[in-house]
Amino acid sequence: MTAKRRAARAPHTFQAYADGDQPRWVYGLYGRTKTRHPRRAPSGFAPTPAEVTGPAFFGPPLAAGENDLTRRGPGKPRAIGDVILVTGRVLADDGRPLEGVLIEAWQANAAGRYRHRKDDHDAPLDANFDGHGRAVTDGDGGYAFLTIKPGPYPMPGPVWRTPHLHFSLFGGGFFNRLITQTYFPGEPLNGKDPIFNGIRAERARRRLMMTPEGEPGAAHPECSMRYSFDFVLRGAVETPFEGR
Amino acid sequence: MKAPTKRRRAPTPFQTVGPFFPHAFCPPEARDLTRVRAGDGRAQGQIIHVGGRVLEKGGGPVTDAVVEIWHADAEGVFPHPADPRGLKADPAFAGFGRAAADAEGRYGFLTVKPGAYPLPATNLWRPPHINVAVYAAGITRRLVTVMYFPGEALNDTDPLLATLESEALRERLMAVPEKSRRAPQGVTGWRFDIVLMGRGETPFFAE
Repeated sequence: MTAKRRAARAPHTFQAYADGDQPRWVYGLYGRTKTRHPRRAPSGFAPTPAEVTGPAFFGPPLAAGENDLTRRGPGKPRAIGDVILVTGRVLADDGRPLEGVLIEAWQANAAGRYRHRKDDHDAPLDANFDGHGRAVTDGDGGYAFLTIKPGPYPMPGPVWRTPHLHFSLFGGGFFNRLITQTYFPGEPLNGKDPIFNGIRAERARRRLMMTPEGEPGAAHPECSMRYSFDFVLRGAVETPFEGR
Repeated sequence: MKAPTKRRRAPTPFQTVGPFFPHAFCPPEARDLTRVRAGDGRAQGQIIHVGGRVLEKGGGPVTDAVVEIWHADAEGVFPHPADPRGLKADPAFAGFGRAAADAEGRYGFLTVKPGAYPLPATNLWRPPHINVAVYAAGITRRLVTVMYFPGEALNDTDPLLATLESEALRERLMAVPEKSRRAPQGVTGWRFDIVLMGRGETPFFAE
């Protein structure tokens, strides 16, 4: 039996998420959690092949420019707002870069308005901004998105969302599929955002903070700033045959 | 014997999907697991339709829910290198599907009834089952559960079902046969409502 086949047939497991490093299931300032969090706490963690296996890619092949949210298509006019570059790597929790990971990204425009039928708040749409894109990580686990810095927007409350980007990642397993949001350092609304602050531990909130890097315009001629952010996805561990 | 695991970094935390997940990421093809590409052949096995409503406390629809499923093909093989038997799955079977809920909170998938598969290093086989993940505004991470089929003998020894503390909870994860108007002619329909909270609440599993 080849090493690859032996590895494939070994039992795999993975670490449970530490509850304190994840957002609370319910809290008053994020009103919708009050009707959408299970009373019976999720339980019974028992990783099986159905959790260890999973999709790494999904949907049609990437089109040219799908990671450029500043234009609705190559050659089309640019959207309004601060052009920023968001780059980084997707890593497993043992530090290994993950290649071929699909990242879906979406966000509001510079005025804080989403191009979505459910967003009817009073900020203007930008005809040149769709607000979603995709990228796949390269051999170093690297990805890049060219986009516009989103504006803050109001939720029912009224409370306001601080500027943020949405990401969805396919880590190659059902168990390490991740949907998250990343934040800009120094934003005055960061301390008041009910979704961001649903994560109690400051060290865990820090893991969602992007880092401004380098000189303006250095990374890309159109962009005022580059932000770096590494995603860390939990990895499967091959359990030894004996004793498990 | 494997070397001890070296120190691991903390994984990036979840955040809610929010109410504005792009429609572009939920195309109709994503709800059909019986084809990988338009124009390809159909997946092998019994074609089924699985669907239901995502509901919140009070029974109202979760109209911004996104439901994702993942499961083995009709022979119980996962399209993935870590398939427990190291087998190659049906190339026409997508394995993964995504559906956005409609204005009634309703979602649906066309797929194949999964086969059973062995748990590595045990004598157990898992019954046919479908992994389900739900995302929505107000769900601050994601909620995962498993859909099973009633009457399957292997349900009685499934390790995940066994972690549920009552027979009533296990019953809630059994799909209900249903003739759905949304299922094409001649396709077996199964109903699986996902109740996030309250009466008839679906049991969810920890991650």
